[in-house]
Amino acid sequence: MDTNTTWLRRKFREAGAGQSAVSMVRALSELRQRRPVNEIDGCWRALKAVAPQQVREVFRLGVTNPSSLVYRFFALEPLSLEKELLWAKTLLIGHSHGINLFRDFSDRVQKSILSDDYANASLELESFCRTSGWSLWAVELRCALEQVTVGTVGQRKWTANLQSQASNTVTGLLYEVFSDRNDDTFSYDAFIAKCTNSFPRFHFAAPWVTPYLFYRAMGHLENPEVTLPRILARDVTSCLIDYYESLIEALAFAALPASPTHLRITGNVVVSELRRSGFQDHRLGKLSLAFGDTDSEDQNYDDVEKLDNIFYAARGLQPVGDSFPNSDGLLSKLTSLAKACHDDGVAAQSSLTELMKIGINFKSLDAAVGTAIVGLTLAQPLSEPLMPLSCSFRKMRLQVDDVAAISFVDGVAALSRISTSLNVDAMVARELIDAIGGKGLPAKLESPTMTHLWLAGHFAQQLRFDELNQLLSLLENSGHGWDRQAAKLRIVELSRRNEVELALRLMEKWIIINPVYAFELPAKVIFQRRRWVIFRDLDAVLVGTIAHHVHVSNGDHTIGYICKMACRRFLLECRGHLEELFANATVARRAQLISFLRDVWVEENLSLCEQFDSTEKVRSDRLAVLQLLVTWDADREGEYAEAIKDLTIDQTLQRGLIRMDQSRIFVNESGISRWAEKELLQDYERWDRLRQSGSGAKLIDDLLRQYAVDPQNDQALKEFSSGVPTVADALLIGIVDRLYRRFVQDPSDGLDSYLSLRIRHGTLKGTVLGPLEEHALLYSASGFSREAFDTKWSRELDLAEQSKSVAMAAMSNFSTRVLALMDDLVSQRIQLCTIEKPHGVFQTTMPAGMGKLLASALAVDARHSFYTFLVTVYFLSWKVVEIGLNEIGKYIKGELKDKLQALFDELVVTLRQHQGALPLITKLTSVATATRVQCDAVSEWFRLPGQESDERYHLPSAIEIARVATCNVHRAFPVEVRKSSLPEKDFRFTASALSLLTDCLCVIFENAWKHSGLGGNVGPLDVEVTFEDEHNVLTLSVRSNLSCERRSSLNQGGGLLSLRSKYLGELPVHLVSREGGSGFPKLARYARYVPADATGKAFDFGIDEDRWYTRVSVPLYEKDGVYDAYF
Amino acid sequence: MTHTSEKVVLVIEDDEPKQRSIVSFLSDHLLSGFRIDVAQSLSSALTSLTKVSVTLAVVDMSLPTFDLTKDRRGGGKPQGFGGADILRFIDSETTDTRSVVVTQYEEFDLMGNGARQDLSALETLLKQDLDSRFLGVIHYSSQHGPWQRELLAVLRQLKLTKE
Repeated sequence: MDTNTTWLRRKFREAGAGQSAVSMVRALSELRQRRPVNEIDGCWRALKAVAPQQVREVFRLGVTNPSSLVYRFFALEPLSLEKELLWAKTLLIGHSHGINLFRDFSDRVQKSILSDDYANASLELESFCRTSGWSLWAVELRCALEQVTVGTVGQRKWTANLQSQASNTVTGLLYEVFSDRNDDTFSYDAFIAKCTNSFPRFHFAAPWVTPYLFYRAMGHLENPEVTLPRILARDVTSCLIDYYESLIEALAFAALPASPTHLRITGNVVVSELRRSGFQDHRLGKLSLAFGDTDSEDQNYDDVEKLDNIFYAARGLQPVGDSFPNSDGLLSKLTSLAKACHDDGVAAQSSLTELMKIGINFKSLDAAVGTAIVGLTLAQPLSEPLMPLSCSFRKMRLQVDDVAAISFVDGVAALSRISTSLNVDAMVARELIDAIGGKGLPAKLESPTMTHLWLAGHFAQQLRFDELNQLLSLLENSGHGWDRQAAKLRIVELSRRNEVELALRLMEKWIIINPVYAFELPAKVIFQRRRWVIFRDLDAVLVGTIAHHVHVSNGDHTIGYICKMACRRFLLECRGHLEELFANATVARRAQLISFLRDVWVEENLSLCEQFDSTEKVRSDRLAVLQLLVTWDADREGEYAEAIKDLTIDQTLQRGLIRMDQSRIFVNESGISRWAEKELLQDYERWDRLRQSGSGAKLIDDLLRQYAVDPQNDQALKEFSSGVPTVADALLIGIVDRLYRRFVQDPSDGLDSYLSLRIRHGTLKGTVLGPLEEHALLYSASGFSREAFDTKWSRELDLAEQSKSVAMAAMSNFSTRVLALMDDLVSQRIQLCTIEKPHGVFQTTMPAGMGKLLASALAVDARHSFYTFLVTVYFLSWKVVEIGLNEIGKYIKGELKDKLQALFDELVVTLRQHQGALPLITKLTSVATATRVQCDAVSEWFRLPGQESDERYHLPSAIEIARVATCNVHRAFPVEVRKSSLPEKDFRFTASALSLLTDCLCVIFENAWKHSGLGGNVGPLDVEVTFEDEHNVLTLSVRSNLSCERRSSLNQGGGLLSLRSKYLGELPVHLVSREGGSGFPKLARYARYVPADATGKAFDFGIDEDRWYTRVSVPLYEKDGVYDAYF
Repeated sequence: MTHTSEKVVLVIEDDEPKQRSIVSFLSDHLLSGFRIDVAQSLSSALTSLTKVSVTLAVVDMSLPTFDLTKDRRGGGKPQGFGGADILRFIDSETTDTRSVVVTQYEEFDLMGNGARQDLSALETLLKQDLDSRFLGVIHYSSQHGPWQRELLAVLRQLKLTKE
């Protein structure tokens, strides 16, 4: 035994390592921090010698009780990643047998799962955990298996049991997170949004908690060089299975071509030693390759075909569905999803997210191809590595594709190895090697791979354009998404070579297929370092279309400008004879024009067309274009008709408004609603289902409450739930909080953005201080403008030199204090209340009282649609904002005004002591009065929008708007309306109610025309409106003429019967789509909340007395004599 | 573009007190023979820039799309970066017009993601995007602030002052 080993053993003994497991962990943690890398092995040997029993107790494959995971012992103090890798190697080498058993089991259970034998997989897992213990790896797999075998309720029950044993710990929280992740009511995006929103709240618990949660929940690693050591240092004392899996993650990071050299070297050492020590894991082989060790032998694995087939299918080489006995099974599903993603890229959005969801839930297994396939699908050319290593991990055998996951130099060596082996890809590898060596490409790609794309990237970097062109052409002809992958590189290459028009044309091809490709294809490179002048002489339709979609995808203002200028050119050169242009255009050109007019020719892009000098003019032009599109693009008629109707309502309302709304306080609720539809609708629907289920009523502990609800909203949650918060309550408060935050903070549509543009932006200060500034009585904060004062006052004042100095000092002091008051108002008070702006009057999170308000608002009617819910939350949000508005208005009208007056008074008193200052005093007195008036005026800005306007509408307006809107959509339909009977009551409607009633009438008018069989000769439409005041239900009935032929075909041909059965049948209302050719599904939805006893059928249509009729009833909600209605 | 013999300085500013202040300052310091035009929106600024040969444009960053007098919708959608579009327009569509930004903002959300950056970051960004006819960003704090000295320096640089 050498001296050093003796010394280390003594140190461990002195630290009490042999006394208990806890003291052993503490001793190890302390000593390994101080010892150099070359002593790691010695340190470990010494520890095992001193505390063998404790080492066995702590470093175990798994644990008996899953609730003790993560926290079984305290974590070791993290070291650098390099040291952690070496420690992991040393510590795990003695456990190769156990880890091999685990990997062997992992392969076995995967086989059962891919054969859809979930029952057997569960039994095997149970048995494995009995002998080897539990790990987070096993818990995650079990959750996923519970979900597929017994559904969400059963899965929730299983995890709830685990949670109850790990209450108020990160472990318990993780089990809730795993449960959410599997829950089929959570979309992948909703789950990610929830984690992203809530995990940072745990930052204050301990530095490791947030990154650990992100890693375990989403597989996400922020700043891996810092977070991976923390994860390894925690997992090592939890269980070795999780520790080993985290080590593989850490090695994958170290193997990236961009990782620091010392990490790559250390990673290679670790992998080599593990393999030499008998570790049987195909991922170690792939890692060796990534570290450049191409001599290592491929290991043999049985039954690898199933897994590899997923990738073959994704590459278009394997027909989907042919090889799977169970076409509904997981393997079949994974394969078809993978293929959809590979073929269609981001356009296969639902497949991508479904694959990600399956992938993240089964992430314990190699079959969890979600992330890998998505990475492969969305791969960007010229990035290194082209393909994530995780993708390579998911396949056991070494394939040519794996080369795309490593650097070029290592890749060439790997290809060489594959080409001389019995590998099925040997031929492809030889072809690739020949191509690299300049010996040409085959005439056709029999088996396109990611490595062909990788090679294309290499050709591009080496400026070997002929070969690049040839290879890309081969890929383009290979189908199955390879044409899209090739397009990515072509676009980059064309841009590099200044072939701008060709690059745009290629991009256009994909945009016309689906605009979402702007998010996947690297179109931004076309615009990099290129100004409008480069694009000026190109086709404006082409430039505008691409620039628009790229601007939408990345928000780059300079690209937005190019789009606007293209629109300007289109206006000058094409807009005037658009119909002629379209008539003479080819089919392809028509498609381009339609795409441009539909997506690009919108108000936001026309701000540089000064010919449109008002909102009304720009919207009129949009209306005219939409009318053309209705006839040119019949497939989207419904979409255009909706837009026309909205614009018609908007225009009509504007003509009716007497004056512009002067309020500067504004929130673009439509913009927020669009965001909410995308981000919150699923959560809302989940809440709706949850509150009706037993699990929604489950009480939650403190830590889980933090996961669901921002701690700042605890008060609101307690108020809402009367002090007993349940899972459903927490979810709802979380939704409302996110909506409220968006309402006040959205960078373009929220309250703060309008406060900034309309109030803080100098206007307020300028208005209040205007009188002072006009008379040169105010000096700037950062410079005493004595010249301005002198110019204005020196001739009027007759002050002695000494008096003048005193007066000037007093004026300076006055100015400074006045400006400080204004700065305080603008920079501190008219702000969102944040840590930086604690005096801001507008709350950024739900304030106390909101919970109560929400509870009472929701209690009014339990049958809320998402849209009524939004309206309710907006109403409450305005109530909260109103508190701030009142506070600030009151402050300006009272305290600020008084403080300013006091400063004036103080100045006047000082000046009175000096002869000759009278003209100044007189002016100050009048300016003080004017300033007070300005304060009063400004205080009026702080009121809710719309309160003083005439935004109340009447029934005849709704009928008239519907008539005009229908005419605007169907120009061949001369809508003539006869109001045969209206209620005597003079209703006043909100804009929302007006919009809903107009929408109903438009659908009814359109159907009257379409069903009449009389074309333009349909004659008058008789409108009858009744009101049932007990339940506040308004019923609209319209009757219209019907031709004999149409009547007979509807009656005898079964057409009417079929229509009635479709829309008036038993279809559950939540399944009724809002869209539809006839618009009737929409009416069915509007009518669904009418109480059964309020009227007859809430929605009906058919033939009565030889005339066509449609009747729909909608519930109204009265507030202060004004009626509202909700979508 | 219609060129008149008269030389024009265009003030593009919607905030009336600030606009009056800048116009008054320019009136005091500009060489005789210069006319000062005012535009209150993106739309009217473009009208001026396309019809008149402008020597110098003094541009605000935040502007309404349309003039309030013509638009019942409060000037259309506020263009938080409308000034930047005008600067780019000057850059690409005019040959001799110089431009300078005079803004009351102290910080901008340049990336549209809520992250605020200061005026020097704005100036750097605009200089990357525009040619040398763009002369910089001046902060306007009040009627008689240091902006006057900075704007005067711009006028002197262009030899547009009376002195």
